Amino acid sequence: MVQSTAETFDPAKDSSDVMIDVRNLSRHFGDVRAVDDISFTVQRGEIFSFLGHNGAGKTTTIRMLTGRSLPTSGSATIDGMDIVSDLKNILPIINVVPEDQNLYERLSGRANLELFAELYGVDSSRVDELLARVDLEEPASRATKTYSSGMKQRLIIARALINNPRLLFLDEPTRGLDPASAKELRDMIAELSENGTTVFLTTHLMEEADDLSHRVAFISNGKLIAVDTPRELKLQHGERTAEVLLDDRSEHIISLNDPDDARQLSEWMSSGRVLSMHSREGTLEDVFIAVAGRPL
Amino acid sequence: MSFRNIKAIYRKDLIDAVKDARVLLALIVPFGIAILYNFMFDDEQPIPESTVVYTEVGSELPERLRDALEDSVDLELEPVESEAAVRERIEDEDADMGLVIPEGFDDMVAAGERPPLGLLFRDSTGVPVNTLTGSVDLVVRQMAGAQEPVMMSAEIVSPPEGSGPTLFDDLGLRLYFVLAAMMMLIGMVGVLAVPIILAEEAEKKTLEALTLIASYLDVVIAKALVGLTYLVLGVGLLLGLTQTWPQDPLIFFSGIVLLGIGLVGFGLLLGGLFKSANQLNNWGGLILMPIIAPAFIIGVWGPGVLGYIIEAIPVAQGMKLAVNGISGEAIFANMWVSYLILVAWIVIFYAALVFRLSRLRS
Repeated sequence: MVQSTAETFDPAKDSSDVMIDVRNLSRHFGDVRAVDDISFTVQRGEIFSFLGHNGAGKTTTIRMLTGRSLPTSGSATIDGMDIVSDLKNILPIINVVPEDQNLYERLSGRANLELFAELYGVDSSRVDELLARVDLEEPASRATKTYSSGMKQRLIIARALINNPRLLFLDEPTRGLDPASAKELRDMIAELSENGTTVFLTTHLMEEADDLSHRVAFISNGKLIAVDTPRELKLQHGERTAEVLLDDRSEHIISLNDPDDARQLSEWMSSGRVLSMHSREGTLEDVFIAVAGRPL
Repeated sequence: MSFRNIKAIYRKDLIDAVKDARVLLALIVPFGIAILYNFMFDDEQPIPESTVVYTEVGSELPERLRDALEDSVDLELEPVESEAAVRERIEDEDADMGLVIPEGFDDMVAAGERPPLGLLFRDSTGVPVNTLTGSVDLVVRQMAGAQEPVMMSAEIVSPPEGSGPTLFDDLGLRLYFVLAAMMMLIGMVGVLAVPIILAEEAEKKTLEALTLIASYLDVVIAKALVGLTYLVLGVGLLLGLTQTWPQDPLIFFSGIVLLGIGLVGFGLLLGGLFKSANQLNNWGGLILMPIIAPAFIIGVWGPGVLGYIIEAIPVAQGMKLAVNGISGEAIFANMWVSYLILVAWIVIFYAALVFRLSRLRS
């Protein structure tokens, strides 16, 4: 069972706890500012979610952080190493679960993992260990084109863990998965974080980000518009409401931020008319609408 | 560049690529064509056969005539009883030539008595009549003890390169077309199989996973090596299947390897231009045609603008070196030009490839 990790995460105490440090990072394609002067840090062991519309700059940010694309300006470090000049030392300690299920489909699950074990210089016993971890031991010798979408995604996770990365990028990892497989994957992400792996997650699913993340960042039109824990964001930007059932069986939604509504509630309470009352916290979706001006 | 990465990707590709029907087809088709040519054509120029009937009088003339012609005509000798029988066989078209030899012919010749000798020919013979009469004249002179007035030496002088079908005479049709199919194999591996392997990596985005730890250069080198491995295995297998071995292995294999390296480089460039392996497979045939066509026409195409264009295509030069290497003769002159053109293409293809790779992470 996944629990909200935001409550259990200890923020960084000093710079040695910083895994990703992004400073004024930009990437322009001609006149298009795909990523525009963003700055943020991600702590070691943190699950950090990056949320935004398609084309907001999420994938471009990941591409820069993983060395696929060079920044136009600004800088970023991973584990203290510069993403441009120290890329060679960064690559062995990171890995990526991409948006697409990019497996060698004519090869078996085991052969897929063995290839990357060899590339990373990892002992082949790691392959067996990971196949067991993602529950793919039995179909390991079958060509991956025969796998279900959930099995493929589990194999990609196993591939991304082959080098025991300190930092794992997950790009829409639960997209296209059935609810059971998605939950299984979220459990695995939470477990990785518990074991010290830093997770950089992009997702469209607000509930997923809310459940999993220690902190979330909203990006819109290449700009970072909010970064905080889900709870803080909801407290700052979400509207606190209460659902009240009165003795005449009428239901009312009242805003706890509105003094008139608060006064009305106080009157109902003192007159004994309230049969039940449930507080309703704002959602991340509400927060996103509040800060980005449109729904995700 | 990492040898570990190159080795891992190379091993993966070597196994994975042949499971792809498109790649497998590109490897198998030239084999089928080469084997077909191998059975269809014959390198040996057949010696014409001819039947000679003669009156059986115990003369050495027929046997000596057969010996004199053994390099150019396969003479079958059939003795008959009389001049009438000789004429009858000629009329029935059972024989090309008839010799009416009188009794005591050899002795009379040796004694210088100038005995009569009748020659009868069919109206159309497989062997020119003057060849037969000339040979009879030579043999009877020898039998008469006459010394040949001159020591004759004969030499066949080849016309200048490109002006005639000398290549086929020197090499033989079978070998020529087997070599052309070999060039086709190199073309199909370089321009079809290798780019399909690369385009599929990009299309399926497995290239993204690879280049997270390996460099683009590692990937490209591994794929170039896979292409060259297929070439070496394919050429070796073709030589074995057609029971052919180059007379000058250095020229032959250097030509094959240089052509292979060049076309694989071209294929890797091509692989980056197409969005999908299927798209490349569909258009690859069109690209392949002008690339491999010179292998089939280099032996017969004359000079001219088109001739010069054909000469500039790497397969034409690869074919020339292969022909010279397999025959052990300089059928095509100026081999250094062939090497120069191949090396120039290699430099162009790989410089373009390095330039392209340098722009991938920008």
